[in-house]
Amino acid sequence: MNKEELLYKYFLDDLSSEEQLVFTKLLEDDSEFKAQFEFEKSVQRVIKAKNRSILEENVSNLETDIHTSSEPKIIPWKIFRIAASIVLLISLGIYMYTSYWSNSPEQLFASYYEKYPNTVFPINRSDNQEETAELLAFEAYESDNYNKTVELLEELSSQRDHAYIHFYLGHAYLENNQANKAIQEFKNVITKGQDFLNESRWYLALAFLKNDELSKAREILKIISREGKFKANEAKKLLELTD
Amino acid sequence: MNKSKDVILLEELKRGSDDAFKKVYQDNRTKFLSFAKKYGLESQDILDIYQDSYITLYENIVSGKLIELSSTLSTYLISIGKYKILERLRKNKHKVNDESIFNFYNENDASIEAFDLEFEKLTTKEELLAMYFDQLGEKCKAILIMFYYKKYSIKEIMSFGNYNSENVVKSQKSRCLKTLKQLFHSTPKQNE
Repeated sequence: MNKEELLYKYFLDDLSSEEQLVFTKLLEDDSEFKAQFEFEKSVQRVIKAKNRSILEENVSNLETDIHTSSEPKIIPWKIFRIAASIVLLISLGIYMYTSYWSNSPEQLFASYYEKYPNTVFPINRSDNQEETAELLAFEAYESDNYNKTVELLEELSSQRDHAYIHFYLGHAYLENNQANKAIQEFKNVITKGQDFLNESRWYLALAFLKNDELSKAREILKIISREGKFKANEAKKLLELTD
Repeated sequence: MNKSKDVILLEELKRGSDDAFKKVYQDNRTKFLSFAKKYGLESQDILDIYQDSYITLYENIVSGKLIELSSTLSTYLISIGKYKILERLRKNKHKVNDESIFNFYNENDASIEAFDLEFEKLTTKEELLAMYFDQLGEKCKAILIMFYYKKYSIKEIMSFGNYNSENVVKSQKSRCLKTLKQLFHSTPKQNE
């Protein structure tokens, strides 16, 4: 059996015990074989990691669905305890009043949101650049004209389904106070699992904050801080502030 | 405990059905969370463990490690969960209560010896490889995912991917790997 065949069988979990012995021996003696094996193993791990982050996203969406759809049920014998808690809450409320207003989701959004720069479509005003819809859209984006950006990017996104179009469209919606629509766009980028994945998670969390959906925002922030990539430290801080 | 219903769900999960993914997650959540509560973990930790266990089960289904059910899906989830709970308790240097651990594993557990239970973070080099992977064409990505993740044989890839012959699949697969390798090796050494 040749080496290629052995690798093939290894990755399909199909090595017999004799072949397994040959395989182990080759790993020890044949450095070229070992290098090829390690490379393919890394490819496998990379694919698994990519799929895992998509699965984590899906599971976390299921979790937010559960939280938003289930109404708390009040059982009669609990009412006394609830009354007692209300008294406590009122006194706590007075104390918390001032701190809440500085930490409301909307406030947190305002202090953490930063417009993402145009990194995909360089604009050279001095050159005679062809006036494509894309150029106009990103010009509008750079000059903070978000109504126009929305209009142009919506048109573009209906023609081609590229992650960066959805990503910047999400920003334009967010700047235009259309958080619900922004959420859809960032989710769209995330499910593609490619360009702007980590950035979109961060802005999705912020869009949830803007929409006053704190528990959904926190689910996403947990993923960001766990993944340790774009804005992971800010995500940790926001989690503490909203705990 | 309806095994024939689970057999159908397993098939649907294998096919990648979103509805089945949602149903199995929701149906087992309460049972799992109340089981895991016994071990003195924070509720957020417990939810993390459930999600991790669920994804682990799903990954093993997709990669063909779980082909035929010898218990219900819920039993598989609890068995994976036990492994993850113990791991978390050790990590937290939690004093493990002997009594609750004494009966931890039992004859009702599903057999998960063949499963991949760990998920290790990518190395820096692999993060780089992940970036290059994104640069491959859609066809290449699809073929590599089918082989390395779903563990489809060349023959299966041929029929799923509408290829004309096994040889075409083989040469396409090695071309894709070669492209990826070239991208990877053209990286300056200081990034290693």
